[in-house]
Amino acid sequence: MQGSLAQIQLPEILQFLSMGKGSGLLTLSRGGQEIVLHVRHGRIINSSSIERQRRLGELLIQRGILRRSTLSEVLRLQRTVETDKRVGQILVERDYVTEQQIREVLRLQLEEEIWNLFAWEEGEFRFEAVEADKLGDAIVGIDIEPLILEGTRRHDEWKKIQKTLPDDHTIVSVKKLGDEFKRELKLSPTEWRVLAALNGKCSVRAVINRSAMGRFEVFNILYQFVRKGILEVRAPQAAMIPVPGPGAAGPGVDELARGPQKKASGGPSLLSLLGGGKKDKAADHLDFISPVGALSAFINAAVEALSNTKDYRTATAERNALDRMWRDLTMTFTRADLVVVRGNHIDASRVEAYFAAFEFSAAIQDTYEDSMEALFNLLDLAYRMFASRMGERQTMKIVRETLNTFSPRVRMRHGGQFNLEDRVQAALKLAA
Amino acid sequence: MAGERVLLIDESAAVQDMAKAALEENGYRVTTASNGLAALSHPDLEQFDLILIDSSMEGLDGLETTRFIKTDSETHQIPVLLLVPEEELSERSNQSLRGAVGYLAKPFTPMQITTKAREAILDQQLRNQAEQYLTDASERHMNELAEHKIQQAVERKIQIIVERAIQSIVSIIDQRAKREVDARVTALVSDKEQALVKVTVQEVARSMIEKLAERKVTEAMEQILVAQTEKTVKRAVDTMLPGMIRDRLRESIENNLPREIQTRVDKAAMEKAQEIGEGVVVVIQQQAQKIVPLVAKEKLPEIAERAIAVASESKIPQLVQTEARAAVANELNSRIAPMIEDRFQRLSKRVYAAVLLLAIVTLAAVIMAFVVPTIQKVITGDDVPATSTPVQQQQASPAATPAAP
Repeated sequence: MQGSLAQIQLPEILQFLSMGKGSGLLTLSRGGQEIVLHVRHGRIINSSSIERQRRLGELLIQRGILRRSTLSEVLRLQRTVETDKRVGQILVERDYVTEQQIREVLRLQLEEEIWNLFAWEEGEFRFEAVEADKLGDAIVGIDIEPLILEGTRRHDEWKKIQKTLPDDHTIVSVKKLGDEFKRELKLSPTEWRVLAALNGKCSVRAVINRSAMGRFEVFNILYQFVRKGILEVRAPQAAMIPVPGPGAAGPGVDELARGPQKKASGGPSLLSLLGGGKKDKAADHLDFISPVGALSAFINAAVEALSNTKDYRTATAERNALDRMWRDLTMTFTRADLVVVRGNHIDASRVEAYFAAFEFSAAIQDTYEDSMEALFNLLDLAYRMFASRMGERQTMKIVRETLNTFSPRVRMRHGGQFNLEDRVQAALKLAA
Repeated sequence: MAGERVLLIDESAAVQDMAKAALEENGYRVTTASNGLAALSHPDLEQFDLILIDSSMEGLDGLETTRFIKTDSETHQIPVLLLVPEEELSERSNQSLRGAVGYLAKPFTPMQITTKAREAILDQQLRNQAEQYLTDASERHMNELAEHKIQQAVERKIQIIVERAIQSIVSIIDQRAKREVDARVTALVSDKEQALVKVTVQEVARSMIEKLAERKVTEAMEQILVAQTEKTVKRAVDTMLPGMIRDRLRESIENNLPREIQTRVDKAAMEKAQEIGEGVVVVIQQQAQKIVPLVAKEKLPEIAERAIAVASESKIPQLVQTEARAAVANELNSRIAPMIEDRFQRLSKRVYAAVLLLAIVTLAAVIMAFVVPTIQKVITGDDVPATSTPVQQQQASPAATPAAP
């Protein structure tokens, strides 16, 4: 069974499958995007987007159930030792999470995704009957009827909400309060969670991630707040971090090399904490508190090197590329927000100062992991951007040269087992 | 120290996460939020033991949020610590903390944040304890004061009540006494009035009786006078004039001496009557001067005159005229004259007797009319002169004036 979503919409297809108690795979595609829903005996048990191992881990991390380092460890195990097992299964077996927690997170995510699919008014669908036994384990099973009812309601609400809050990138912030303000705002716990996640800089998507709540629920609450006059919708530019002018585009390699010491110090009191924070001229070492500082400095150096190449300069004069990418990344990696990107320059001094102050204790673990993950993502995005402009070969060459020059000089106070060269090469899949 | 609730407000999710981890390691229960409004609208804000606020947030900054917390009656007691970026410390140090207990420079160490938090909570607990002591002391003092005031008020009230009661009692007694006195006075007045009425009635009755008696006396006197006169004349005529003489005399008188006899008799009678009248007047005046000076003077002449008039004008002239016709002209004149004289003398005696009786009655009446009221006045306390003249007595008691016959 297949056809166009313009003719038969998803609720009707799902209703048909529900009534027929059918089992199989329902594939929905629109503009290169394809999502497969697993249906067993008329109930939805999984979706292809959820199936992605990393996605489940992210959901658990966002809800504060799982640490990123734990997820990294589990993903490593899955790649090396327990290749036949799913991430969720390993997490439950090793008591990192309970089955109930996974089921709740998955159900919420699955419902959200299906409701999002309800908004598709064009695209293709295809249903392929598969025997129920061959559909794999069902961690969740969602009844279609109530899902359709709720989906229809949300669809109507959604149209109203979108007039005020067009998309995930919309930035909302708290209005200034008048002197006559009284503590009369009565909020439900979920409303408070949404309000508490707003910091005037983050987008709706960041609020969704920070509050660990459903997309529609967050949109709806924010929409109500805007209507009540508590929040205001900001133009995206208004929330942007000020961008330095062309003259301050970025320091040279030498300057970048000195940068971390100066910035990581954060202030006079931290110089003492940093100890060897000064540049060791004899060995020409670059001292950092943590891998975050080292990675940030390397990205700065690489971007500087790439930006200064003749080819890139003639191709484009994009000065705020990293800034834009970083804003997007911190919507997902919310605890990376102490790393500041201005223009094409990363400033990790604040987060490094905290790592020094906390002596890299367990308390900073989540911040460290989010920051590192976001920085590797930034590196990947920047690399691909430069590669797309300058060609991958030249980009790779410059990055490798920078890495070769930079990496041996790096010294980290709390580096642990971290090897910058290895990690960068692994992330960018650079040839040795 | 464990389990205290801390609300941590910071724009950065990373700072929230690290501070939360540091505080939770030391036993605090931490709630995080990213803006001031979230802090102010937390459903259980007043239950937090400490609030840590980022000083520089977009929208509602830390100082404003602190001000709102500190000016709300439910949350003002919660200690607030400001989280100030190190680079802003010098700038912030000159600013008002808006009620915050202090600040903590960012970035902070786990030790710094837990120490500051502990100090702020302990300080607040000490303040609360001190406040509690103060409250207890002030409550005790207030209670004592209140008791004292209440006691004073009660005493005042009692005093007022007692005074009012006394006033009320006095008033009641006064009223009763007044009523009693009034009743007594009314009764006395009533008695007096009754007595007065009685006296008046008696006086009136006495006056009536006197008038009646006077009239009866007068009538009796008149009857006696007439009867005696008639009888005397008839007897004189019957005895002294035989039928023949009578006829002759009658004839002679009718023929010869009718006018002369008439004239003489008239003249003689007039003279005698004048004499008798004067004598009576003198007697009466004497008596009247003794007993009833003025009224008697006024009345008695009238009585005398009337008696004389009656005697002289109606009875005596007719009798004399009638009898004179039958008498002999000159011879009989001398005999009739002493007889008439004798008659008048007798008449005068009777008149005297009658006047004397009248005088006695009048005296009695005067005594009744003046003496009794004077005695009564003396009894009731009126200032009546002890020696009043008979005139005054008579004027004061018109009822005692004897009526003229």
